[in-house]
Amino acid sequence: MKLNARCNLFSRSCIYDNITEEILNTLIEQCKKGNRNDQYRFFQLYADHVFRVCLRYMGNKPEAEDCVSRTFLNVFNNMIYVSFENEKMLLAWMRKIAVNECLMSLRKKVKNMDVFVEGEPIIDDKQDFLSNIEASYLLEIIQSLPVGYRTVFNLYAIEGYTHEEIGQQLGIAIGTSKSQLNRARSLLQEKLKKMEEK
Amino acid sequence: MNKHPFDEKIADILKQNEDQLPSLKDKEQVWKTVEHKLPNSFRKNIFHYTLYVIAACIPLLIGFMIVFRQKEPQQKPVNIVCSDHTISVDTRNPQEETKKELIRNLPADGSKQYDKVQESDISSQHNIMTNAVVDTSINPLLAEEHAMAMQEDVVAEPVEPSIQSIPGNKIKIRISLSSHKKQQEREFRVQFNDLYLAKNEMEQTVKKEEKQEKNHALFQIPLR
Repeated sequence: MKLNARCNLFSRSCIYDNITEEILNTLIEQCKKGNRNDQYRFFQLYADHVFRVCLRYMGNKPEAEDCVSRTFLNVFNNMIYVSFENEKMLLAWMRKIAVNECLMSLRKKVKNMDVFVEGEPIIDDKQDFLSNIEASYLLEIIQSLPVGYRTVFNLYAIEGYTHEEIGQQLGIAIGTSKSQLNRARSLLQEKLKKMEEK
Repeated sequence: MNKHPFDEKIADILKQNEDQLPSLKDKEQVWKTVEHKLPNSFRKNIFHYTLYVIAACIPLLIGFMIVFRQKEPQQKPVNIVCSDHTISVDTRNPQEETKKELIRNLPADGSKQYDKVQESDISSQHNIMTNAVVDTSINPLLAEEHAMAMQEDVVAEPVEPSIQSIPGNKIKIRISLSSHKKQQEREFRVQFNDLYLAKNEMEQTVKKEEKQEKNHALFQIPLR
């Protein structure tokens, strides 16, 4: 069975198409044993995926690369304690580690993630401006958001965390998380509309 | 959890078009960073092997220490000054050496008789004290036999006096190594065992002789 089809959250590039579940299991076992060549192959396979997750949170490439290296270090060190039924589980686990690494970096970097904007955010329910947008461009706009907005938006809208979980992760109140999310949406829509007008 | 349509739309765009998103260009550099921080399996193994070797060496070291500790008192022979000459005693096995030396120096004709053999030249390092007393009434004609017999007559202090089977040829030697209590105990144990064996042998010999005498007496009874 091709594993590529089983990954629900993120599709992957064609480089992984030839990998069967059996090969992946062997690769994981070798990585657990500390085989450096197989760890390198594993890194080559999943580095882009992890990098894209980190890029959404960190806002720039050098910081995202740092998070990628720390994520893989954690992955290889803790792999031995986890068993993976399928690749979906592996990806979810790695994504969680990547998100945690990003949040830890952000906590060190930004002490207060709360950004106050005067006035209530206005959210347009029409999604016409999203019809022809490219993923890379959308990512750039998300990266341009203030750190607090960006983090809450990523955690809620893309990772699927609840406001309670976000509050625990970031050390903020649930209400703050909600307001940050609304403001992030509003700002995103504003930016997307402006770009469409141009 | 009901997602906002705007959130859903953005998540879909990002998920479905992941290939359009920028990829990690400098993979080799990032990998080097990861590899550098990963625990080195070789170093890890070396560490474990070192631990095993150390663990294996500890009993060996203890063994060596015990062996060398036992051989430690390798000192100069202690000189026992008799009335007219000196006997050297090797302190590693003082009883045997003393016996041999005393036997070797017994007067063949019995003209010289020992009044007293006393220790002198006490080794300051090991504080060896030796006292020897030789009884004076040795029959000169039986000097050689006495010399042989004396090997069994060397008696350490704590042993019961019944072992001293030949009256008049009794030698008492007391040796104590006060600076090495363990050594002292060991030496005395050896002495005691030797003497105990000697005593047993002697008793068995006496019993045999008695039996033989009885048998002999039986055969001499005239038949009627």
